[in-house]
Amino acid sequence: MKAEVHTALCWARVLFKTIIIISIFGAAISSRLFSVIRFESIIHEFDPWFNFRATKYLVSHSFYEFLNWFDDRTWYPLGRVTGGTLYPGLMTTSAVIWHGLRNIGLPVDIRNVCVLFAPAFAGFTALATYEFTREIKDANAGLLAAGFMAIVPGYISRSVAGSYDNEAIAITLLMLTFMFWIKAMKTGSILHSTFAALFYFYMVSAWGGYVFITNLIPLHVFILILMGRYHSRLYSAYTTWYTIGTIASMQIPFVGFLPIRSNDHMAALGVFGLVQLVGLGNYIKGNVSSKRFKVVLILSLVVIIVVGVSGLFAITFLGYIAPWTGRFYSLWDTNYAKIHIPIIASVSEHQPTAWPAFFFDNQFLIWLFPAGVFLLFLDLKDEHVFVITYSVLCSYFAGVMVRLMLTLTPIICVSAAYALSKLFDVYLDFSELWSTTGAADVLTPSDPQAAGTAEKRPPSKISANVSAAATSSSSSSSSRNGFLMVITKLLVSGTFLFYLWLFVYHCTWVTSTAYSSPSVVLPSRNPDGSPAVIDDFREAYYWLRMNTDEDAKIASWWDYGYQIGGMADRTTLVDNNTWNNTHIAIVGKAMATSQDKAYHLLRAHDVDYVLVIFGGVLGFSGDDLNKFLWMVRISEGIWPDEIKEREYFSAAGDYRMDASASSTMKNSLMYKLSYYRFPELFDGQQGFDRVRSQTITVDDIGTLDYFEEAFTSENWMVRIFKLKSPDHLGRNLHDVAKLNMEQSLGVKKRLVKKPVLDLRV
Amino acid sequence: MIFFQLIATVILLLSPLSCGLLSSATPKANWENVEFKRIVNVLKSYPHESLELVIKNIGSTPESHYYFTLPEKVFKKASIFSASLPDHNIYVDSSPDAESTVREDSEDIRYILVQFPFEVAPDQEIRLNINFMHNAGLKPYPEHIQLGTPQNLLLNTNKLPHSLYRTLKYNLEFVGGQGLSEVPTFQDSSSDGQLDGEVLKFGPILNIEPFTQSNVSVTYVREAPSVRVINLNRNIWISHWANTIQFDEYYEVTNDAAKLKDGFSRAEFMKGQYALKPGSYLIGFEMMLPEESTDHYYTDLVGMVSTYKIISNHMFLKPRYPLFGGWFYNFTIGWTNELSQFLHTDGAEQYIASIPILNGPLDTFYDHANISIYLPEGAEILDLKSTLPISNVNGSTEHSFFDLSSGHVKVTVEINNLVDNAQKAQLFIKYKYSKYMMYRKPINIAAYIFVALMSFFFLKQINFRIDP
Repeated sequence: MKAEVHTALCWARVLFKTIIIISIFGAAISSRLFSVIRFESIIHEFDPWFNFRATKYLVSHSFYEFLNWFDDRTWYPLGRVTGGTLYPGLMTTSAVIWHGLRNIGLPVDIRNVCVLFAPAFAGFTALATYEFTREIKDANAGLLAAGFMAIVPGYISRSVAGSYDNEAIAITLLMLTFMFWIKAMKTGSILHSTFAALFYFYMVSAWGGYVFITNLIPLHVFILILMGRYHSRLYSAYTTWYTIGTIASMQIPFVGFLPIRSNDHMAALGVFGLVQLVGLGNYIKGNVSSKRFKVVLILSLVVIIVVGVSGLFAITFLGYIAPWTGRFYSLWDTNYAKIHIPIIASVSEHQPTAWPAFFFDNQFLIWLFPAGVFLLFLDLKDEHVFVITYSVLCSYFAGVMVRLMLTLTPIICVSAAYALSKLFDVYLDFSELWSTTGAADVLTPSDPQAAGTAEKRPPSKISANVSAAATSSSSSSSSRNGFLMVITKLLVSGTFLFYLWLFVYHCTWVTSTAYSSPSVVLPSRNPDGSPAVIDDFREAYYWLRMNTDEDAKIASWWDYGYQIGGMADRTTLVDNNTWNNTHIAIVGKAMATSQDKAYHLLRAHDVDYVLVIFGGVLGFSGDDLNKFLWMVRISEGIWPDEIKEREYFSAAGDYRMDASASSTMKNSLMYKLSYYRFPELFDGQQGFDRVRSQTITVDDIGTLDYFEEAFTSENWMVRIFKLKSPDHLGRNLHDVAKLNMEQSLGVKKRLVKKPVLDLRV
Repeated sequence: MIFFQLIATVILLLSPLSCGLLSSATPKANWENVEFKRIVNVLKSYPHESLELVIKNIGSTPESHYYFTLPEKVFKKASIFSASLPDHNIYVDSSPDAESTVREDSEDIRYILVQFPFEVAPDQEIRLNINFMHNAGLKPYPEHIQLGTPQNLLLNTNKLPHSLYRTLKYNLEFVGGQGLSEVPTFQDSSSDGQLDGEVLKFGPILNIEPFTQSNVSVTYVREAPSVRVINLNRNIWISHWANTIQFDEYYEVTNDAAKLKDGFSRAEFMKGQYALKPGSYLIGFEMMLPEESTDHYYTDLVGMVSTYKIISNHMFLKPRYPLFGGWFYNFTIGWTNELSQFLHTDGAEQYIASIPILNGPLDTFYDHANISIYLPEGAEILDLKSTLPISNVNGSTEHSFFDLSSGHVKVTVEINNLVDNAQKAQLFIKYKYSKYMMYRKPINIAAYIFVALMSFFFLKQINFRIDP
């Protein structure tokens, strides 16, 4: 009878767990579909457009063609060795999914595969988090962590439907790798560490952030060794992971020999060596007396440190090891990028995180997180060290760069789930009540256990409470105490259930309002209040695609490079791959100089059209004039004699566009293109820029002689200008425009100019 | 049965591809055009020519073949050519003749053989009406205009009948245009067209020898876009399970109107409120959908276009940008109707679907159209007929969702040179779709899922554990 009840309970447990996991999957996917429902199935933002374009290429070509893809439609005239400079994991995965679906009779459009890629993988991330947390604590904590992971905004921000970016798959792989690593580390299982290595390889193929794993796992091992927790399990897990993982990761063309050459990977190599030495030391320790062993230990430590550090310096100095990359420095010194590499600093997601963002992205998890870390300290098993290391390291990184919030989020979920689950273990346990009413004197089996474990541990606030509650209930069975205990438990668990409810509410709200806009399409309202969209970007890109020559070259700031490549299908000068700072500086210089210089510079680069984003009509603040200072700074870095940031500010030192703007500013191409014929929208004399709240007059703008307007979108957000063809009489385009204007104004005066009679060579 | 009622009017669609039948010799000139009245209607974006002829057999034998001639450039772009005998109230067979005659002083000539259902005795006269549209010889004049200035179109066409036969009396009229006037040419600086109200009249011109060549250029004001669909891919999916017929149309459109002189200035366009005024630019399309259509969509290559509206069975589309002369746009629209609206069954698992050939906008010329009908997997095509003779029919299969065996049966019909009038025309497809085939599909799907689940179950049974 009892056995039957037990099996029935087991089955019920499995059933509930399955239902919960399926619901978590459902929640993870459905909460990411806001943008599809509200807008459409569309690729979001900037980088995903490149990934989408690359995926389309992979689907229509063979894999080897993809790896050898030289893209001559970007970075004109340099081109980009795309196949060798991307992480192919994302595209390969979606191509495999696409082919797989076709083979089972579901010929889904590749765009839909890409759009729904991130939500689907978010479900798997939740699953991996569940497994991971189960290794840290138990299944209950696992379910909580999975639930958090499924809907936490910090992760949703990079994985809504349409945000087809490397991160979409990378976080899943990150959690899978860590999950297998913990499993391997706990058991020493070679199978699990091989899986960890394979997922690590997958991660390397998918995201540049793999370096985080490359450093975190060795750090974990290193700390364990320092704590004197070395064990043969650790040895087998780490060596297996490192060897297979490193060799596998070197198969990715973009990574190549980096794992043995770049400084970012040296820690892993060092720890690999260290593990060997510690293993050897352990062996020796088992065979010699401890006194002698101490001598051996100290001697060898000194030798190793000296040889290791000097060797590292030597190899770096000799150039065998690549020096640290700029992005790495900017991790430690937040001002580094701004001074040395403005292009990195110009990206908004590389900015330091604002404090409210932590709460916005994690809500109540952010304060449960330290509590969880603290509770982990109390337990401090080997796997807990991993979570603690991860938390500390990532908290710092997330503070430095906004985008690294993403890697912090999983561990926040895990720690918070750990804390909450510990709490719920005690406060949600009403079995006692049931047992006192059912069988008055019989102690429930969980009771002494809970009390026992609580007493064993060093005192903490919560465990003290626990022990107090537990002992009080076990010592006296008076109904008053029991009643108080129930009240306490109800109060505490009720509070936290309310927090959980609030968390779900917050997550849904944040996802719906902040993270579900495709940024290609902006929501707006019709005059009658019905929802409408502002579709200027696609309008202009589509115009380019339909009405310009197929080989036309478009110059625009690099932000729009991927979108132009993806939507307009035209050749661009620079794009979001920012691999060549000088090339970007050329475009920046063209935008920042006067129109005649810009014209010659652009013509020298075969440019046909210039595209600028202008938000003055609509009040769209992310426009090119607001990014203009970065263009100036980046080009100033290359041509400090020609472009000077100071000259773009008004006399009072302000960044202004109205009459008080400096003449350099007013003469810059960006200024002219942005405001060209802008006042005509108003009374024809002055226009009001709604972004900068400044008045622009006709005189500020002057004339545009070297470019002609080719297209302006409905709300003026995208303006496309065509470079005028050179005058067929060889005249200066400025003079031609002036002459034409005078003629059209009816000025009869003929300018008789003394011809320039110098010798033409 | 429905065919026979509807195919009472045989209209011939011309296609340069389908030529190549008759002998190469110039046909005998055994007719005489007693009267030849030609009315060119330029109201739409393509000229519509209606010809009223009185012809007389001047040969010695009864004759039933009349050769109508067209300049090659017109022939290549001609659409919906029809010939009728008004006295007998019948339409007659008229088939394009491949042979083009090259003459020294002129362009190539193509013949169209008009075959009367009876013979016309010598010296007898008969009235013959010919109707066709074409899209040749029309261009904006001047080619570049400024936004806001009215657009002039120039139609260059043959002034004289250009006939194989001698013409005794010839009249030419241009109607439907605003401010019609003749443009002097190099050869003929005399302008002998007379404006009579809104009609520009030439003639009567008497005694024109065969193949006399003379061109005339006429301009008129036209404040409307000249929409031309370069390519139309129209896919029609018939589903018996859902009882729906789904239409999916991909259009490649251009506007043949005058181009903008100085590029497109949004400021000027907004200031002048041109979006509300008629002009040679295209602001939107009006699609004529079948009654009671549902589930509409409007997309292009970069995603959904939100600017469309459905008002009863009209679908108003606004392209992403106004289409000025020489600009291009392409888009896809689609909708769903109930299958019963288009399907008739004779009960014995045989069906006849009558499908409209076009649902596009009015006043539009189509260079090329591909109409594909997708029948359910396992259907068998018995017959395909149309009120427009179809030139090129292709049958194939295509795998769509849950097509686990042979795939949807696909029939593609290619048609060149269509005009919006073809909306009235139908395509009839008769096919067999057995109950067995209909139920095979869900059973197939179920079997696959079953196999997948079972294999998963058995794979889970395998024990990979190393330790005992």
